[in-house]
Amino acid sequence: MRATKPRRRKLALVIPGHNEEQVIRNTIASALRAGQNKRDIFVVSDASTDRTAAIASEKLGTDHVLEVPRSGKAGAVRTALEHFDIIKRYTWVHIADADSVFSKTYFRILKKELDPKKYVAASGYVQSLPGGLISLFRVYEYTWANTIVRRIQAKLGIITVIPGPTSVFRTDVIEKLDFATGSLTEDFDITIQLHRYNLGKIQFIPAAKTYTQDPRTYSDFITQIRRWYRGFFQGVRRYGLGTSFSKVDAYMGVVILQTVVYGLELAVLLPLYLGVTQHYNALSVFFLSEIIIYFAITLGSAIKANRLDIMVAFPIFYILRLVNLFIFFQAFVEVILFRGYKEHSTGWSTAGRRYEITAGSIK
Amino acid sequence: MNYTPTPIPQVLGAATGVGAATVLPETGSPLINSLAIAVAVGLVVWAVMYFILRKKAQ
Repeated sequence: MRATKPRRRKLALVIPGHNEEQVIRNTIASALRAGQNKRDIFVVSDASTDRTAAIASEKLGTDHVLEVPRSGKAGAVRTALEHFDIIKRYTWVHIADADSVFSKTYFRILKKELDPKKYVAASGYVQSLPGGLISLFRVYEYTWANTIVRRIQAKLGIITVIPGPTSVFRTDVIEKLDFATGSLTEDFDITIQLHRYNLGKIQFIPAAKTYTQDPRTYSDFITQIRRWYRGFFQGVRRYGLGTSFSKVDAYMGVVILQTVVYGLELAVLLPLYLGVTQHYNALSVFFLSEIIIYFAITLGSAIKANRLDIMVAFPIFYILRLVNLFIFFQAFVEVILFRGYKEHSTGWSTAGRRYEITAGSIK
Repeated sequence: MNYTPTPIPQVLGAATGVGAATVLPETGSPLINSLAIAVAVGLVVWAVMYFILRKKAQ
């Protein structure tokens, strides 16, 4: 008589973290509220020196918590997958940031919508938790990115990043992915691997909403976007994005090109035009058109996110957007032109930037 | 989380601006410049007020 194979459970949640005592309790509670079964939640604490592991053990039991020596996020996740035998026991694994707050139906929706026959990975909708000025800016950015950009990407099959706070993988593809490439933005790197190695399609599930913490200070914001853009160009360099004939290459080519065109317009073409023609009102037209369109898009995002409060900081958004652009070009010069940032990194970019989440953080 | 400066809005704005700027300078009126200055000043005042009120609220 043949032994029956034990039935795989649908979805495991793995939460890696380093010194997350301020947020881990809330993250686990939020996952439970959102429909994730306690026995399907696993925490891996990467060399935490605080009470991260103790708090997680209180909530989940010690057999669901693993402490590892300093390994970085990718290394910690890899060890947890092996230790908890996730690949054999589950069809899907969700890797979440330790500061995630899941909407009340998040896991119920994921478990209902995830389709292993059509997709190898999936992502939900990320939104910013209330915080400081940067969080207001991010409400606009995330709403625009999820509502418009990611929907278009999903339709075309070219989702370019499965964001850290909401990344779900079919467990059989995990072994084909290299989580330890030393990228500064491992979620982008992993997503590009899915495309490059033709591993399958990525599902976008916008109804599954999760919330993340964004920097509270200007200097943390700069540090974060420097890492993002350096990581982006590491991926561009490593996988030669924009240099092959594929949908994702074409899309990335367009994204880079449109940013370069805009930068050139601001830094070269507009000053040149003004200098040559002396038509100074061209500057006024340029500025007014930009402001009108940017205001309309920001207002649309605020309405869509039900966060009209973000409009109070609109003029600052305009400046932050230019800061974004400047750092994007800086990263291009550092990584592409000067071939920098090749070394591996096993650090945690979130160190020292977490804040406690209060009840009613999510509207 | 996008890893590129938010795509599309800037290009929309820039394209509209460049498009309009190539047509309007011939008929350019001081009104456009005055309007642009008023908007710029308005945004600066708005930003300063935002920071003052934010500080007071803290």
